[in-house]
Amino acid sequence: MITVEHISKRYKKKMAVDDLSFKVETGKVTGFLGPNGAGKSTTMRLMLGLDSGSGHTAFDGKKLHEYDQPSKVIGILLDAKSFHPTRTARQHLRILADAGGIDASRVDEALEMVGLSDVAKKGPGKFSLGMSQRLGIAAAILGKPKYLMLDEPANGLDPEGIAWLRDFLKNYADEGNAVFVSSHLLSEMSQMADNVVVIGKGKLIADTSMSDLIANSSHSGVLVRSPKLSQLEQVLVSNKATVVKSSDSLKVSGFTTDKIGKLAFDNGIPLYELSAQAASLEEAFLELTSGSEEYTAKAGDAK
Amino acid sequence: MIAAIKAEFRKLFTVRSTYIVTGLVLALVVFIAGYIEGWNLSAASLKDPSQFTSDVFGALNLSLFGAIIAILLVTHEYRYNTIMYTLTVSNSRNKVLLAKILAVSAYAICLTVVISVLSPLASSVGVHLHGHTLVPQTLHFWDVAWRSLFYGWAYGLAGLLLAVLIRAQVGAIAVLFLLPGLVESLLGQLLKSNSVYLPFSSLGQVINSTSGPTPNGHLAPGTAACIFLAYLVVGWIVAWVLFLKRDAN
Repeated sequence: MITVEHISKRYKKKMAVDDLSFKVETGKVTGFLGPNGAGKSTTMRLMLGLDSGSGHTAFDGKKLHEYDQPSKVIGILLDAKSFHPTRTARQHLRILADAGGIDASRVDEALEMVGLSDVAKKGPGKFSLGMSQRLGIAAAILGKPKYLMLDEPANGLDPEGIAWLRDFLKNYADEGNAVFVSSHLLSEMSQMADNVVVIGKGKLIADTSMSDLIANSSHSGVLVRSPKLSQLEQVLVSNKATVVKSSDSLKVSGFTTDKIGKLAFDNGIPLYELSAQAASLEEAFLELTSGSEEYTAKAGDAK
Repeated sequence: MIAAIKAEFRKLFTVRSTYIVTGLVLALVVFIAGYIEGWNLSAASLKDPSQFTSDVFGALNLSLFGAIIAILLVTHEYRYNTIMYTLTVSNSRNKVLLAKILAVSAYAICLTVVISVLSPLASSVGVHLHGHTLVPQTLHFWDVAWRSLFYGWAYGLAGLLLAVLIRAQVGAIAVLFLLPGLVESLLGQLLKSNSVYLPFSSLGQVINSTSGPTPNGHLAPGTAACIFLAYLVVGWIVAWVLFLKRDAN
């Protein structure tokens, strides 16, 4: 488990990361979400000790530099274009293997896994963003680390690449590892992540499971249609449910379909429809981070 | 530590710039020593028994290029953001910096040895091809050897020092050119004879001064080497602390 405790980072007058604490569990994919400028990348850099700040991060109870071979503890992809443009892809990985005390044979294995074997002898300067991401993922998995920390790894990947990445990360976590991944592709994240850490303006907004995050969104609820809508509304409100009424239906929050069905039956109210409506991750995210955006566009600016 | 050193050497020898700059140095040595100091050697110099020593020390001015290689080794890491990998795969920034120093030292010493052997060789070939003959040469081997090796090594470490302090490729190379050439020349106007104590002025005297009694305004090679070493030590203490403390970007 990665334990992050009270990490903070200040840039002159701006608090980039403000007393963040959360955990990244093994066996799970943890999504790291936040608006642009929320401090996600800075948080990751603080966790790795790349930037100086207060607080500390422990990997299975030990700081990263206390391990003999940190590359076997954590693999990182913070920037897809982090390579010398004319040094070949294979040599780029050989350097990381040398520095991390990793067997050189892993280099070709990693390139094979990400589908870059054919361009192993080419300089990555002319790689597409998707190919660069794959090289970055190869670098991250080189040491078969227990933890993966990936910042926007799906950027630039084609649909096949995104599907591959999703399956790869889920399988990686299923093998008893932990994946900590940030992404703005919320639909992908909703399919991939088990837990979610949400930050805004450097502060923790949510640290919960994906299912709880979505269930607790005001966009989640139960849709009910009935010929006796007003009577049903009275019954639900008297039982302390939160009800939003529209012309032909009610949206009920805080009650399960089972409970609503039983209340309707007990009160002799017929139902035409009773269905659970799950919020999307995007709806839940926008609801949570409302007011935490660092940079927002005004409507009508693009004239 | 061995892993970090191995990685630094691989970084050094897997980029084109190392080969281009080294090739340029060797070509310049052959041209300057072979043509200017060989083919075109004056009649007076043909009778100079220390001509080989002059060839070696003259060619060592190209150690500047060794410093550029050192600068590129570090600044490429920041320019292409590979520094985050370097600092994450190692469990100690001290190891990373020490590995860079050892790699640059080894490269600088090898380059110095090659320059020191190639320059008198090219010079004598140039003289021979022009049909002239040099008088028998006297070479104080150990004196020339330590001064050459110190000069080449110190220039390399000075370049590396600037790179660690400045971290920007253009900035570090600009300072490397401006500091000895422009800044120290201007300061020399103020400091007069004391300008010999300026960093690159003192380093220059390691190969430009004669061993034995020195004229006024000049330092003995040993003294000059000690002065530059003092600058290096102080500079490296500052650079080391900054390397440990600064954010890696």
